[in-house]
Amino acid sequence: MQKHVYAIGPEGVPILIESGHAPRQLTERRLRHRELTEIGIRHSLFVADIHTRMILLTRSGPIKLVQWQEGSALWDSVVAREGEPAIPVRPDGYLVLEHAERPQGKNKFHVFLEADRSTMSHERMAAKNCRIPRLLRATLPRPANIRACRRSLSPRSPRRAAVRGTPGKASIP
Amino acid sequence: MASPLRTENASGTSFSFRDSGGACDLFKTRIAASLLVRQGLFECDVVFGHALLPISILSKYLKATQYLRIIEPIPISRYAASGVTLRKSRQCGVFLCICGAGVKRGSVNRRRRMCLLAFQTCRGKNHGNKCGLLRTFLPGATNALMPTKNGFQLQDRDIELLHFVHELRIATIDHLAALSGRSVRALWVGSSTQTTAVSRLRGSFHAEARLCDRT
Repeated sequence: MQKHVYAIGPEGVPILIESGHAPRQLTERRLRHRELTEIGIRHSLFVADIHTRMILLTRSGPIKLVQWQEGSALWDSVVAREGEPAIPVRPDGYLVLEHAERPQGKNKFHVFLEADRSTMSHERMAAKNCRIPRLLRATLPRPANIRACRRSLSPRSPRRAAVRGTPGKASIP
Repeated sequence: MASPLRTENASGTSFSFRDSGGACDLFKTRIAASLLVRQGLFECDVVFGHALLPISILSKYLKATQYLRIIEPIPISRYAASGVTLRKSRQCGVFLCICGAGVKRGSVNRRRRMCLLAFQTCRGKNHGNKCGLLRTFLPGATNALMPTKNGFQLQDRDIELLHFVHELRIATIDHLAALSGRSVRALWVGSSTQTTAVSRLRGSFHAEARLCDRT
């Protein structure tokens, strides 16, 4: 089954700004949705699936999705060892979950998203997962307790099908 | 405007490019044009910076070069609103014209029904390009605005849909249905009482591509 993929067009930008859903700077940015490759579209749709699921799951309950960020603003690089070239770190997304029932200062969970549509080898995925903790350890002022938590949510996996089938009951990892 | 093409060595095995990513397609066109002109195969007809090349000549040449390869012929109708400048050449009936998405939409000649070739720069060892030249038009993609009949009809309260699409960057009808709490059918069914605001909104969605549903 084929489906259309929608993106904001040039006429949608002023309406979004007028209604307060987007900042005024959006007019200065070039819309580059058309430049996505087919693989890029599929990948972006997978990220959009996850984003949608997160929005739906956090609409009710104590956990709220307070921030979701994608794009080049997240791109960075880290030097693992001196003398070695910098390794690029380009997560697919960054989100912040806030738990209303936990005390202030300990109620926010920062998550970097690395979406894999079962197209990446396990080794490459593992290497990618190691980069973000390395980057954070290198940039944070004090050592932080950082874990690379991997949640495989393949488009074809039974786990994903299970999560899809029970929209209200799936727990946020 | 100076050509961004610069040959690195005598055999012409590498190129460097100094321009923003937005001009990639223009760059590709100019590479092809420059190669052909240099070989004396074709006298390039440049219109507004975009080269028009006969496909028959270009195809022969592309087989012999490592830099460009043909992806697939794409009918011009699919580019109707994507900003393609098309002009008929004096010599052949079918021509190639590739340009970036930043071209003004009004420059499209919608009456033409010719075949275009989308082609893509191959990444080589000495390739100096750093702006993602592998990106190109999607084979089978439709960049046209949604049709006003039997298509996606936006209602007055559909600003939230725009907001969702903006949040997700790209979205399918399933995403919009899930987030808005409305059925897919309700989103697709058009209304006979369209307002001015709706007609403005109607054009704000672009059908980017038809993709096979993973499910």
